[in-house]
Amino acid sequence: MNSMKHARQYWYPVAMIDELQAGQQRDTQLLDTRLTLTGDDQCGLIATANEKALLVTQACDHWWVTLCDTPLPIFDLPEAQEHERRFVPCGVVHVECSPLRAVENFLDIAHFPFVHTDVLGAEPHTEVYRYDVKVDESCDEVIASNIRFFQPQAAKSAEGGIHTEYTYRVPAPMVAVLYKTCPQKPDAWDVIALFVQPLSEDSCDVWPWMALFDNESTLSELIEFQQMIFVQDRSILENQIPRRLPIDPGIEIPTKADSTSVAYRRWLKQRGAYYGALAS
Amino acid sequence: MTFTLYNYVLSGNCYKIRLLAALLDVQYGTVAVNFHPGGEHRQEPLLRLNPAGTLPIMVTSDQTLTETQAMLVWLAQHYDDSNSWWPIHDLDTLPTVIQWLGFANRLTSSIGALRQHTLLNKPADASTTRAAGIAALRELECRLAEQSIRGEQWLAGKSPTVADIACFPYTALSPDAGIENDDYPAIRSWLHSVRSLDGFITMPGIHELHQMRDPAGASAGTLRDHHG
Amino acid sequence: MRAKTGHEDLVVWRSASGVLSAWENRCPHRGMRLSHGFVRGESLACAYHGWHFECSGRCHYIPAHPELELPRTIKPTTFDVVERDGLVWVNTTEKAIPFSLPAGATPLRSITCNTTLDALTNHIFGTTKPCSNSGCHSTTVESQQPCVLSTLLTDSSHRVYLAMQASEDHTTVVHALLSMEANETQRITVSRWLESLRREAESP
Repeated sequence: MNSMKHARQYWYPVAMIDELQAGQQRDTQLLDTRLTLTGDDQCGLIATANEKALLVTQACDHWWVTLCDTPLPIFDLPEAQEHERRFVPCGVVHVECSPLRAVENFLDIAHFPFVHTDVLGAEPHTEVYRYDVKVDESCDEVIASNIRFFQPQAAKSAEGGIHTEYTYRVPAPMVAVLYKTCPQKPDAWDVIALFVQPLSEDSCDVWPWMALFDNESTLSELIEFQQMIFVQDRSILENQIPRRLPIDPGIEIPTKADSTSVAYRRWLKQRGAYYGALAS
Repeated sequence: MTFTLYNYVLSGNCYKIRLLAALLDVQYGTVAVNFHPGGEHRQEPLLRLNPAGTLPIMVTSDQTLTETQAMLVWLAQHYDDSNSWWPIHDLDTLPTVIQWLGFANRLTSSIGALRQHTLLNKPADASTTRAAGIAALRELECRLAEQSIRGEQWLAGKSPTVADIACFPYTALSPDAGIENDDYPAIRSWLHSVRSLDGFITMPGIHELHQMRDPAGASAGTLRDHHG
Repeated sequence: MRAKTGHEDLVVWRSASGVLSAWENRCPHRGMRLSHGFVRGESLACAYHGWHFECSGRCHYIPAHPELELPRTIKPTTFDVVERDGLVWVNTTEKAIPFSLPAGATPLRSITCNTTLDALTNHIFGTTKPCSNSGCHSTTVESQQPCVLSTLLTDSSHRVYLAMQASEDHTTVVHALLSMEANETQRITVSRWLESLRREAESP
């Protein structure tokens, strides 16, 4: 199966739920294909490509579309049904990089002290301790767990530094979900997800989304925190060479701290998810 | 409270105020505004404060300011006892400072507008703003190269002024808008000077000078930079 | 800083003690441009994960694994680099020797023109009065390939040297040098002349 055919089986985010009013229209792009999005009278969304209507669904406060008539089911995120959480769609950020590089960066913790300095990490607390990575065969997802890292200000609601625990899951090549220690509710996990809309193999629109336990911060403050973090990453992502993700070993040198990235690349390769990748 | 800043974390203009306040060690209150995706700055109640629908907005005990460069002057007048950031007594330098405060608006309307387009998908004429942005950077580069020939490091006079703060953010953020600054050596050297100022703070897209940080964990700003 | 020669994207950096290095502008770990990195003492560190590289290019410290003994093989491609006449010269090919500039010139400024090297040199060679209102008149123009050095003469007998470097993206970087004894006003005049030269060379 070629890379485009493989990529077309998935659902991708294209807009926030309440973004387009009835009759309002916006053009965008998905997998090199021009799309037109139109709000309809029933608060729905019509997405067309080459004058053909596409399948559309709602999940996690976003509209998702697929270019395939028989797509794979959209990923399952049970926390999206937990109504005591605050759901925060953070708005789109455009990045000139491979959609896969955007996901891989989200799975990386070793950069925190250097890119999110004094917020998600700080020298001298740079060490990445051993953690667990596996591919869960039952759901065919990459899972990384037992990740611990010292964070000066782990979340908007955090006061002072804490040792944060992280778990990641990658339910689709361009969707990554992070479960992290909730500063206000130690027995629960905050959920932060990155939904990536691949415009082309080397450019993407990224839709961060959060499901948090935080009763103090304003919505604007929560969005601000997430946008600050993601835009700090953006200048890194736009300066990685090559733009596409090298999926074969040899071009880039991983270490033990990159176990999630190594598993992610291998998992992409095994399923033929080459869209946005550089294969040798 | 000294003043309240209606702030958006990704705005270069809001950052000017945060930066000068940090350099002058002024405490203040902030209100986070959901500029993107919410568009709160173009809705009530913020339009009552600023009908122009722009950010930042500065509310002091007796007035509301909505023009960034005016806010810089207000900050310097109230909190810079040395009168060096707004050199009100140096009549040779002051007109030059005002000249570059005006120039800063050109950076906002070119690089700033293009950056909103490339970063947040806001509408902008990409080719026009890009050409205007490059023209502005070339003009700034020429000024800074000539200042360097004169043995000066800053845009006006012998020390940093509000003009340097006004021009800094969108120049430093030009790569966000797809305009690399590698081709502008005098600008790069000046960016480095601003980033080396005591009390400097960052914003997303403008990284800290990690060389100034003690890897053993002492806070930044106390170590002198070895670079260049 | 980042520099471009014909095909190469380079990082050029100077250590605290003054050692100059020029490498492929790409961290071997995750491909990040090293020109975004930071100099700490005798190391260049990558902006992404803080990997530290010593002047030889060898990676000697990975912050995520502070205790790890590193193989000598983790290093970006390095190039020969020398400093001469106030310019940094990099050799990205097997052969090549730096040119010698006449003694007594100091760097004025570097300026990037949005034209090819050919177009720019054609413009300079084809213009006997580079910019009549700038006070500069060229009397002699000499050149060496592949990097072109032009010798021009100002009104007051000060020489301007232009070292030009073509880039793959059809831009040309001009490094201008001026005789040592030129004063501030003369240096600014030549700076303005360079701006005019670029405007003219870029105009269709």
